[in-house]
Amino acid sequence: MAELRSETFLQSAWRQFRRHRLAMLGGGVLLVLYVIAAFAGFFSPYDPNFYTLNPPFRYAPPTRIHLRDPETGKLTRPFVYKVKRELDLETFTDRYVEDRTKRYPIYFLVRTPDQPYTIFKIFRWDVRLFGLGEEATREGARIFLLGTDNFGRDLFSRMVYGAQVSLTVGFLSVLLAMMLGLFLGGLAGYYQGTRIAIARPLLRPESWRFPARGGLGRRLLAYFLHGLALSLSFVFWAGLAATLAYGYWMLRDYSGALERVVFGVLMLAAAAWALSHALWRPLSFDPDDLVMRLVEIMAAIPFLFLLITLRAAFPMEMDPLATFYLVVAILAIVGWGGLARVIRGMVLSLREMDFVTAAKALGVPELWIILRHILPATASYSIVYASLAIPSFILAESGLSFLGLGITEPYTSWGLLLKAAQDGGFASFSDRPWVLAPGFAIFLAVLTWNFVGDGLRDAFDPRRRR
Amino acid sequence: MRNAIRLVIGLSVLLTAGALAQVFTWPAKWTTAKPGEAKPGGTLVDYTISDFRTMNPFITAEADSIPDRMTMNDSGLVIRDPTTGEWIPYMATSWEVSEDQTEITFKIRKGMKWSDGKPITADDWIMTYRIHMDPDVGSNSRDSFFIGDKPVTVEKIDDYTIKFVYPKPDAEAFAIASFSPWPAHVFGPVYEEKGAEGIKAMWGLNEDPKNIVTWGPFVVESYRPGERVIFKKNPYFGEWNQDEAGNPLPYLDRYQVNIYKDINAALAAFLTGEVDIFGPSTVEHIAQIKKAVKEGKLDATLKVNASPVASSQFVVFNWNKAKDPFKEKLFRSAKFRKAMSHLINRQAVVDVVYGGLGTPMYGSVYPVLTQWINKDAPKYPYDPEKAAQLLAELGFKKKDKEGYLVDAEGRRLEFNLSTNAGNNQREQIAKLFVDEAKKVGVKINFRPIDFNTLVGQLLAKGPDRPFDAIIIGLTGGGLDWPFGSNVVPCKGNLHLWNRSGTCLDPRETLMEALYYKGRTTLDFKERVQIGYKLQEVEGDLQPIVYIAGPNYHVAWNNKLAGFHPDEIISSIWGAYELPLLFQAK
Amino acid sequence: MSAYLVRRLIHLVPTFLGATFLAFFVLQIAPGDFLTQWALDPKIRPETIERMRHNFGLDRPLLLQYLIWLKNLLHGDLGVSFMYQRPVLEVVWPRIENSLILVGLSILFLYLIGIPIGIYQALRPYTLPDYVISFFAYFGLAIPNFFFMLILIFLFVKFKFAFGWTPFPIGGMTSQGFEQLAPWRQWVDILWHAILPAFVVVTADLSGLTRVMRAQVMEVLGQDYIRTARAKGLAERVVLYKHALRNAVIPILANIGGLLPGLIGGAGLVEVVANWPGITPLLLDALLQQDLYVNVGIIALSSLLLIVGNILGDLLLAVVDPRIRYG
Repeated sequence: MAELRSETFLQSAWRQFRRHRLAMLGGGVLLVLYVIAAFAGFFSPYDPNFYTLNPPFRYAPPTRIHLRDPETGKLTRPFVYKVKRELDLETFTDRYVEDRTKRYPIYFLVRTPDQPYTIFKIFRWDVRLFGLGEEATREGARIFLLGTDNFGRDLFSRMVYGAQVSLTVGFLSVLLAMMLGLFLGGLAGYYQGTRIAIARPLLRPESWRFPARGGLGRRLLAYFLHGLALSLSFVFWAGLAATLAYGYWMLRDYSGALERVVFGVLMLAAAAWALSHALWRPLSFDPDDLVMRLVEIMAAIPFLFLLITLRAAFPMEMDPLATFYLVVAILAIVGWGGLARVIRGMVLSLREMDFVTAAKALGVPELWIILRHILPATASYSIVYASLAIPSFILAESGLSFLGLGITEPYTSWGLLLKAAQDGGFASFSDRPWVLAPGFAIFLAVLTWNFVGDGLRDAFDPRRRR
Repeated sequence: MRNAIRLVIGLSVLLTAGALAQVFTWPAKWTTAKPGEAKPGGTLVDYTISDFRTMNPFITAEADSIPDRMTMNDSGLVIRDPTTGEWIPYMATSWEVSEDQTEITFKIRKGMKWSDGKPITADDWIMTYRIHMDPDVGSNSRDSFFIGDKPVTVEKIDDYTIKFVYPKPDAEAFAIASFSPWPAHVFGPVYEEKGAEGIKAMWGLNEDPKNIVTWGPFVVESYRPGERVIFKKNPYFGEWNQDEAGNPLPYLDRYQVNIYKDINAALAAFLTGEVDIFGPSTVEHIAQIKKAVKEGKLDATLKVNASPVASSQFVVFNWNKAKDPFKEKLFRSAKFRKAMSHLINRQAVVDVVYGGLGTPMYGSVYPVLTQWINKDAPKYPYDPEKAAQLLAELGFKKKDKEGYLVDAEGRRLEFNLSTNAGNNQREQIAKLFVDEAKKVGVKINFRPIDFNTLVGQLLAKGPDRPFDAIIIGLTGGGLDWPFGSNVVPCKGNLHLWNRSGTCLDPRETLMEALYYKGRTTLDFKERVQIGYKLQEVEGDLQPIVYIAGPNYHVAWNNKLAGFHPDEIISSIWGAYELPLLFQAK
Repeated sequence: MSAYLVRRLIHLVPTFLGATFLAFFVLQIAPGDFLTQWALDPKIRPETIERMRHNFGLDRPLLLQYLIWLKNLLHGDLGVSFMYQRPVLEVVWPRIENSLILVGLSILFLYLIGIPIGIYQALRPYTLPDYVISFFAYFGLAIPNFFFMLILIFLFVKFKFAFGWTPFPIGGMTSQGFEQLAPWRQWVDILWHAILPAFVVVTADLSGLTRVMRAQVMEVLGQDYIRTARAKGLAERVVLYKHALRNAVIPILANIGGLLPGLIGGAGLVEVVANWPGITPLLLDALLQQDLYVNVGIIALSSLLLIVGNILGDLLLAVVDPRIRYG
């Protein structure tokens, strides 16, 4: 029964989504972008780090593709000419002039054995969608659809590879943020009001009363668990006492007389509080309090500051791939709070619903209730959240790159490429506008993800249907 | 009789002038302005990239600071003549060097006044020196008063005579004495009363500008955090600073420094005429300015490739790798380092990294210090074939199946290279080096690391240090003796390649000896010869493989005039003397 | 109400302590400290650096540094900036003021532009103007702010070349000769400079607000009480402004508190490119130089402002919406 209803829900959502024209368009564009990113090697004519110093191609403009035969004027197979650099010492700009002696036709599905690539790091291949072929490359002919950077590397190939990073950074970090947000938000909401003990009082008889029921195996396990909890309590209290003593001892040299008194009193109060808990009262906490305080603390530090500060804590010297995962993790850590807050609210009301109460009464295990009954009810919100968070994370990645804190060479991302354009300043606009292309790619991805997000929201929200 | 009378009249004229002020006349050859062309009035708008942090000369630590801007880059008793590079008296009128060359006595110019009208006397130098030397103040200048571990001392002889005593004869004696004085009547009472803490609390950025006192041409008028500082003319400066026509200096009424965190914002301001002077750092900036000038949007003068800059970029190999004898032996071999030098395509670095506007480097002396450069010192320019040949001589003849060179025992020629992460230019240099090396079969694993970690590795001491090779740069180093006091001597903390504390190569020992010999030789020509010899040994040893540096360019708006003649526009002398600038339009 | 306020203020304490300790801890994990950068200066001896490290208290254990910082905080002392050698508050506060001007203006813009546009769209949903407006709102959202600012600066330089003047100043916060202006003229000058960067900041948030506003108004217009109001013959104007809009605006006002963090962060990189002397350029400098107390001080102050902003948002909501009571 439940199966059937959820299916019709999805079906009607899909019907709604399809009526949202912008969302369908956005979804289509995104599909293309992700396919290109997945098969980057195939769609790029060159390896993203391929360059030659001789002949140089520093900031070469997009190669002109000729469609007509220069002699007959008839349509012919598309071809390009070799270009030669001339540094104009009058204006200090590079100029590239076509050398019209030889034509280099553009081939499709061309093999490049000296520049092989891998798909998903597994399959090695060397067939590319288009290119000039090995021979032409050796002779110094190139096809640059979007020009080159200061090394003379093909910007189009770099953008295709950059898409891998930019598009997955958004996706992976949202996935991680959602896992954190759903887990912690769900935990906080479901267990709100339940107190969980972290340390047991040492003088209360219950703490020393070992469980003595069940078979030998069960009893041993219970003994073991109880003993573990008890010894952990000891460790906890001892650690707390040591920290307090250390703090007081360290501080004594650095304070005036009055401060020492005030601090001493505070320390004593803290110690008394800890002692009373250690001896008589259990120390427990409400998971909701803990999670929500954490969310508040994270929210109290402005987004950008948190992002930069967290990045600053890690060395810059990381392996480029590790940097990639670090950026993902940081974005997720910065982003989970908002989702957790909403999920908690939803779960708080869901757990009072009849179907949950009924499941509890039937003795369904808690984990099952959470997984099967509560979390699915938050799914549509989470999906909408994800589709709208991805674009903001793509933008955040470009912000990190702007500060030089994002992905590093030899990997590349749209943010990193855009930073290069930004560093070029006005010259990027007036002398080599093609370096702005990564900005357009970011724009396109963010825009289409937002369209899709809007479509999903309308599709999942019955009140918005029309 | 007639002669005697004339003599008396002459003397009286001199005496009256003396009572007014002993005037320093700014030579006309320091500017392109025609005599009498300059008019008083107007404003110069300059800019800086990093915000100012204090107005206090004793705690300032930035490269560009308000105290430096007020005192023409910390000028004092003596300044250098940009046309010759020689020291000439400025706030002093003359000096005497003792016979053993360890004492210099300066006669202070009479009639100079602080911007609050109080006279400038020997006490001001003494107080300034005392405060700089107080370790609790934490002045950045303190270390410049030491030669080795021994301090230079300053004594007052009378109100207008002051004596510097050096622990030994020193080529940089005048540079040490050239620091700017600060008013003893302002800092003295605070220092006597509250000590170092009192000094540190003075002249913060929100100090009332009325309390700021300087001898220099301009004094702070207002400061807005993160935006700009405005200086106004110091009326007393003109009493003892005049041009050849006898006009008081400076000509300008105001001097303004805008703060731009983003270089593009500074360029926009220059292009639209809001800023008068711009230092283009890339070929893109130059192209933009050229274009604006060509299209008639901007009336400006642009000096491209005026000189190389006074800084270096280099690769340093670590000689202290006790735990890896294979690499240690390799890095200690001059042949290996020469091979590496042959693998650095300096022209490509200049092209790719500096947009074609840079200068290759082969030794520790900055290319801009032309009088110091020994053109005959050995060089190892880009030549992969020679590199391969040298490596073959070291035993790396075969290649393994991945195409990397191996020695007879099959050990691969491979090492790690790092530079400070975030420095784009160095990362690009490293990339070029790695790619060139790969072509001859040398495997370099490049990984940029955090600046602070990098410094930690470079400065580590002892027989085993945690790096293979690092690309880094140094600035600083004087015109009097352009070799670093802590770089060349084997115990120096910037003796980057070998920090075992002892010289390992006889050529290192020789370089150290030549360094001290030059440092204590006061005759300039003789010193230059020692410098030449030092460069020859250095070239042969190649302790550090130098790469290249960018060039210095400058552009100014033509509404200002009075800039240096072309011959003396360089990264050392800059483009102008502040007091000689004037508004032309 | 006052009980609620007191409870919120008490809650503020652990949040504040948590945020500052987190900042303190994270900042100190990074290798090196403020003085490491001097180590490569040939003019400075290693002994000097060790001495200064001791003077700055950077050789003490982390926890102790934090406790001392807290202790000084009770005296209203946020520590001393290593870079500026001055109390942190003195360095940071003018920058926070500048940032607040920019943020304040952009919030004003946001509401002045966003709410009317959202209403307009809600009244003509699924028409061409609706789509066109949505597209432009998305446009602002999809361009990284720092890049948009650079584009605008470039366009204004070109504008100046073409016409010899610009409608808005290109970067900066005050004009030359600012000090000589009368006080009210100074304010006009600052606002005039703030318009362009504030506009860029707004573009990023505009699409969100217009979307929410559009949806809200549409939903409210479908409610029974609106139908009742119409049925009893009230003028459409009255229905719209007196009944519909009031209710539609409520959730948006509730969100003001939540907007502040986004806007302070969002003004960030724009401040750098537009040369606005706000808090971000200072923070970037301080992070780069590892000026510990400036970093912690900025985070402490801005988190305090954020928390206060959230409380104000709640109070505002209680004033606007009589259904909400805090007990």
